This record gives sequence, structure tokens and C-alpha cells, in this order.
Amino acid sequence: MTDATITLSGLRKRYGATDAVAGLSLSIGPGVTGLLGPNGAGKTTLMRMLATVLAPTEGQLRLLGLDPADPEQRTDIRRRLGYMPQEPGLHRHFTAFEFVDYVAILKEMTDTRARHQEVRRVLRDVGLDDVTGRRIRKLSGGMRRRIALAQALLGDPHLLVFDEPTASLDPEQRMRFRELASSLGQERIVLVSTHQTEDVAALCQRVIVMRDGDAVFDGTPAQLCAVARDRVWVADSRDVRARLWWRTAEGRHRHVGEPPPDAQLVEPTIEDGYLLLAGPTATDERAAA
Amino acid sequence: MSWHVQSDLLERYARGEADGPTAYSVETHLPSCSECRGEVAAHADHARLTQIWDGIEERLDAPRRGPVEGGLVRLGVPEHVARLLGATHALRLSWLLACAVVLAFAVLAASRHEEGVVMFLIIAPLLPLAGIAAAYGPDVDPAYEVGLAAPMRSFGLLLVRALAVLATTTAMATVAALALPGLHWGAAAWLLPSLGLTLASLALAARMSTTAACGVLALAWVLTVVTAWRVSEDPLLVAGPAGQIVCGLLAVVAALVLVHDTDRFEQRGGLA
Repeated sequence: MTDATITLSGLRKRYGATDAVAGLSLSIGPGVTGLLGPNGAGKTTLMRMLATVLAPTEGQLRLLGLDPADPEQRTDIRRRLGYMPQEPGLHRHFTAFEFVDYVAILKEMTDTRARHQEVRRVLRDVGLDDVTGRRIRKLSGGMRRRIALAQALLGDPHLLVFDEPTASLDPEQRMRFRELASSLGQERIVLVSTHQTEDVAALCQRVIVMRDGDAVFDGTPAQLCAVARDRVWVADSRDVRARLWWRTAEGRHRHVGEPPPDAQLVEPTIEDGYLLLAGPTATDERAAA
Repeated sequence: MSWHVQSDLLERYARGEADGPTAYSVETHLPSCSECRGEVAAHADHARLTQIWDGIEERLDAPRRGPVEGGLVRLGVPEHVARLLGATHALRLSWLLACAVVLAFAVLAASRHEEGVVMFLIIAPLLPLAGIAAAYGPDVDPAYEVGLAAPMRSFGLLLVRALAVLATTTAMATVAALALPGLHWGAAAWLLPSLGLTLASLALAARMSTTAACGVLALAWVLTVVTAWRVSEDPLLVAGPAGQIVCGLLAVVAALVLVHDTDRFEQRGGLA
């Protein structure tokens, strides 16, 4: 029986004197889990460790009940893993079909006919069935992103690790990705690292906010939204007491922080909660989380 | 439409049992008769239809192989191995052309000057090293990270690509060696260094990046040949028996280390 969980215990990745991931302990089961955090928070380092391409400096990691430090078990994990890196390099002289076919061979699919069927299936799933024969160098950024997504779906993996999958996708493609990831997450572990709080709101049952290599929030999107309850207000002019503020399309000023007594409070969004926890002035907010 | 195909004939057609002229006649009728099309659909064997459709898709969508990939398949290389090699920069036509140009200059140098043959002996073993450096690693393989997360062993991929690079560069250097002036046994003296350096690069790749391993060996090779020449005043010392024995020993030791360190390569495999 497969252990359908990921367990991290004191997981650390150190580069010189800096901890990119600083002793993280988590357990993740089936469903879509979102990973939010600013640049340099350690998301990609964590995703790489979960995709078995980067070894931790310290701590324990179990993926699907297996130990990635053991070569045999690591290979078993990789047989059930789909990984889309943050910057998926593609062989640009290949066609979309050829590249996904190439990755399918790396995934030990040697029977030509069955492999080609699988390649067609995943390209269809990401909406690229009409450009299979086109060279990658002639495809748009969004299409290339979807090729990277397609290769991760090969072999119907149990563990899917997507690092910023919606970057450079247009709204329709993002919606399609959400549908796909959501259906995959019904039975599999799907991890999505993203900067897009809307993706998290629309897609994830669970969200983890990272800052400085550590998890500063772990809960549902609704709970993340609730972090900013009674701490978001709008005003006609900028309030210098706010932790963060920005001008809205209507010309008013939206503020996040400790509101003044006469503030016009508004419903918070996930983005407000995220900014309080991991935004540029969030250092003191960790304790509140 | 005033007439319809008989039911038993439609059934035979749907099963693929109608003879050619009959099947043609039915197919001429079907586009204009929805009733008969409906009846054919009821008799159709869906497993057979799926199989036929898969076959059509396979023919239409199967990618056309590039010149290198196609050539490898014609030489008997399995189709999936040829695709792995098709992703190797050092096996692309542009790279092979560059190697040919380098070898042509080396042959030209040898024909102009008596000591020019040393140039050829230095360069020929460097070609597989350069090819291997460009065949695998985070700096040269755009899909390196995707490949790392796949179950195929990294060392297996490196080995397949390195062997292909060695085979192609050896074939090209052999042709070039035949064009050297005053052909003699010394024209084959690059073979053992080539093999030794290739195996040594693979053995070192368990300890450092493939690019670094090839760079270190290339530098060591050039310094060794030039130093031996300056010290002994014999430009072809490396091509002599002593030099060949050393290169042969290097190949044997590197092969042994390689076999011993396969797991080490896999352990090391990963991003820094």
C-alpha cells in the first residue's frame, strides 16, 4: 500500500551561511497545496527538494513513504513524480511532440506506440494538440509553459510538483490549469508554488506561506484571508499609519495594517492576509500568525 | 435517398469482412445516407475502431526524425535511444561540422609543417572531450532539471551520449588521419589517448561537473604533450610506445574507477 503523504521534519537547505530552507516540518497529503511567498522565501529550494533534484543539508524527508536519500527509493519516487521546474528548459530544436516524447523516454516508457499515445494524451490535456508538430522555438511563452506542464503529467504521477505553473499563462490558460490541477488533486498530492494569490484562492485546499525559509502560515485560504480581517480599510487619502497601502483603480487608497478608530473597514482578500504575513513590512507579523 | 444497404452487408462491412469492391460501394453510399450510417455505427466494433484511429494518429502525429536521429535509426540504434541522442548538442550537425573544420585545419597544419602532425595528435583526443562536456550537465542541457526528476539514471544517459560522441568523433578523426601526409602508424596514435581521456572524463564526472572534468583533462592533456615535447625534444614522444602505454594504463584505470563509482555518480547527481 502506497503511503500517500509527504513528511518533512527539520528540513534545512543551507547555502554558505544562509538557510534557504530553515528547519521546516510539515506533513502534506492528497489535495492541492499552495505555496506562497516572496522572492527568496525558499519556495523553489523546497520544491526542488520535494522533486528529488536537490538534497537537503539536514533533516528528514519522506516522499510517498520513501526516502529520497536512498538511490533505489529515489528512483521509485521518480517513477511516481511529475515535476515542472520554475524555469523549465526545453530543447528548442525539438517539436512539442518530440520534447514530451523525449521526457517520456527518460520516464522509462520505451514502447513506442504506448508512449506516443501517452504523449498525445498529455498534450491534449494542456490544450496543445494542434501544435504538436511545431518547433518549440516558434511557440509562444505560454505554449512553452504548457509543454513543461504536459511533460509533468506523463505517466499519471501520484505526486505533482509545479513551480510557478501559471507564470506567463493568459487568463483562459490559467483557468484551464486550475481545472486540471483541481481534478488531479482529488486523488493525488499536488503542490503548486506561485505568486498568484488568485490561483491559491481558486485552487488550493491548503496554503502554506513561506518567508525567510520558514512557514509563517499553514491553513486554508479562508483562514489566510481571515488573518487580515478588520485590518483592511479604504480612505480618500493615504494614511501613513498603515503598514502597506496602494492606490486603487477608483482613485482611493487601500490600506493594510492596524486601522485607525474611524477607518472604513472592507472585506479582506487572500492577498491582504498574505501581505500581512509575508509582505515587505511583515517581520513582526510572524508572532501573530 | 430511395434505397439502403442490406443489413447483413452493413454488418459485414462494419466487421471489416466486406471485399474491396463491396466496401467501396458501401463507402460511396454512406456519406449521403444517415440511416445507413446509424446502422453501421450500431454494428461497429469500438475496440477495432480505436485501434484503427490510434494507427492513423500514430502515422499522422509521429514526429519526423531529424537527420542525426534518422541516421542513427538506420544504423540499427533503437528508436528511443536515437531520440535521447537527438537531444545531445554534441551530435547536432552544427557541432559535427565544427569538429570537421577543426580537423581539417589540423590536417592542413600537418601538411604545411613537419611538426604539424603534433597539432593533429593534440586536437583529435580533445574532440570527444569537448563533445562530452557539451553532452550532459546543467550548463549545457536545457532540460537537465526535468531529466534529473525522471527515473532514468543520469549516469546511463551520460554514458549513452558519451559513447555516441566518442563514436562520431573517432570516425571523423579516422577519416582525417587518412588525409595526413606521409601516412604511418603514428597517424593512429590519437586513438588510445582519445579513449583514455574519454573514460577519465566519465570517471571524474562522479566527483565534479562533466564540464569541469573535461576542462581539467583537456588542459592536462595539452600541457603533458607540450611539456614532453619540450623536455625530450621529440615532438612525437606521446605517439611513441611509452606514451601509448601511459594512455592505455589511463584508460584501464579510468574504466575500473568508472565501474566502481557508478553509484557515486548517482549520489552526487542533483543540483548544487
